Amino acid sequence: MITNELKSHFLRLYQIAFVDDDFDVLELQMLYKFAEERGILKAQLDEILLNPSHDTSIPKTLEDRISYLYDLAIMIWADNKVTEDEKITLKKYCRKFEFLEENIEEIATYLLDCAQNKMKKEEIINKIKS
Amino acid sequence: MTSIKKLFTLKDKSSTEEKSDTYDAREQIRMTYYQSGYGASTKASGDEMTFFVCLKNLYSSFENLCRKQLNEQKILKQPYIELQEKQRTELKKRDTALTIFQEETKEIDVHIESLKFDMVNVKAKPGDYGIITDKKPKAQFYIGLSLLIPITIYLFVFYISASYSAFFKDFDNNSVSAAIFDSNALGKAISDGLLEAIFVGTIPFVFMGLGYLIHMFQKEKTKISYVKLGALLLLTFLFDVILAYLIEKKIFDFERLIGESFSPAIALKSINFWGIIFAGFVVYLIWGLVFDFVMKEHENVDKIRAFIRNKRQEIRNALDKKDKNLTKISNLKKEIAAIKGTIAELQSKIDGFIFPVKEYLHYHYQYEEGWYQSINAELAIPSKEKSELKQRCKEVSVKHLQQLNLSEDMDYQHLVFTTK
Repeated sequence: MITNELKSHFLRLYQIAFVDDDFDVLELQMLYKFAEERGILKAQLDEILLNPSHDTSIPKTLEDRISYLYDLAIMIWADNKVTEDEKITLKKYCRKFEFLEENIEEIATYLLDCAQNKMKKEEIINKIKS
Repeated sequence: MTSIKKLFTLKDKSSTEEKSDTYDAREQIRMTYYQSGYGASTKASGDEMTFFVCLKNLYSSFENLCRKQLNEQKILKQPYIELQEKQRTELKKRDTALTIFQEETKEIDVHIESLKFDMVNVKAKPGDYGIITDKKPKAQFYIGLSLLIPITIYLFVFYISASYSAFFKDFDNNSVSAAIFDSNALGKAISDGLLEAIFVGTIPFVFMGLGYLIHMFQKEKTKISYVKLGALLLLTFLFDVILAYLIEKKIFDFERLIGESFSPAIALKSINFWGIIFAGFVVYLIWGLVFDFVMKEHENVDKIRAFIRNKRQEIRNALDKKDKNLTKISNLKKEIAAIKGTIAELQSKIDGFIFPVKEYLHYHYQYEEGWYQSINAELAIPSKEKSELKQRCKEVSVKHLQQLNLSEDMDYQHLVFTTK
């Protein structure tokens, strides 16, 4: 069973992918890779992407929020470039995930830097928790 | 630099103050409208013409106030903004679906092209597709067939004639010369009786059957099948030997002198005996080899045909899938156009101005109430005249609302003035 939270996550992921109005094949592949990592089959992901809307919900724990936002940052780097619109969208999600307004810019920059340096998600979460 | 931990601090959830502030402000405004109505009515002695102008001013100032209250407008527009965001999400989803289907359609096109290429190329290079065959299987098949047919006819003639001679023929002076080959064998057998005709007529099929079995056994490359093959060849050879022996014996019996008796040694020395064996068995062997060759070439031609048939079916399937995708794509495009329309419509509402009808009516009635209260309390005129004055004011109020197209019965709370 795929939770609403996870569905929302994939919704956000491909929204990010679409922000630059050019849905790159690399981005699509990345999307399938994320799905695979979370045990979602290609067909199931297609189902989520192609089917009518559901209520979007944000993750509850801090770890999940960071994990999802980091996925978004990786997704932004999928086509090896970061557009201004993509960064704005990432910031929008940081805001939605209820991080402090004054930190939004820095969080987005930090996550994008980590994604560019291909840091592991666990590494980031551990740093924040320590 | 802010520590990472601090950086990822979540907000506290306490933003309800704003709402209560708004509520207080509204209550304040409501009271102001009542007092303003009361004051204006006192000054104008409840005059209905003045009331009409006052109502117009009230409306204009309320509208102006609404336009200036950006925060308020933001709250009113929030549902439209949320709806628009939802629509944008829907649009993105459809865009994604469109990309997926378009990508898939492209892949199908490439696949169809490669299938078409395979269909043409398999004839030139069957080896590339795992089909081991000669280069021109079709030509070789027809050459083989053109040889096989006359040899088959020959075998028919030979075995009908030889079996008739061996089993049924009575030799006389004229027939000794035609001992092996009798041109009238079938006719004679028919005139001798049905069973005889069937016997000589079907004997060639026995040999054909043996030839077919040789072909089938050759297909299996096992030791057992080679043994069977050897046994079959031996059997056929023995059958031919028996035929030759019987004919040779009949000739011998017809020509023998007293005291002579027929023996295998005599048969082995006879040229007729060997003639029958060679004309029968060797030709039979040649027939078997040609038959085997023709069958193999036919299979090769068939393999290529089956391959092409298979590819054609694959193309049909791919085209079906492509058709379905194209229908989906066209539906998605329609949906995208519709969603874009909705988004644009919502955008014009967001860019426009929202007039809170219910709220205005509420203030309007407050003002009206203030006006009537003043007539009641402040005017020193007979109560009948007061009632008439209030009645006239009521008509003015109704007229004013009618002009603005506003009423209590409206089933929506806000009136939207779009930018278009």
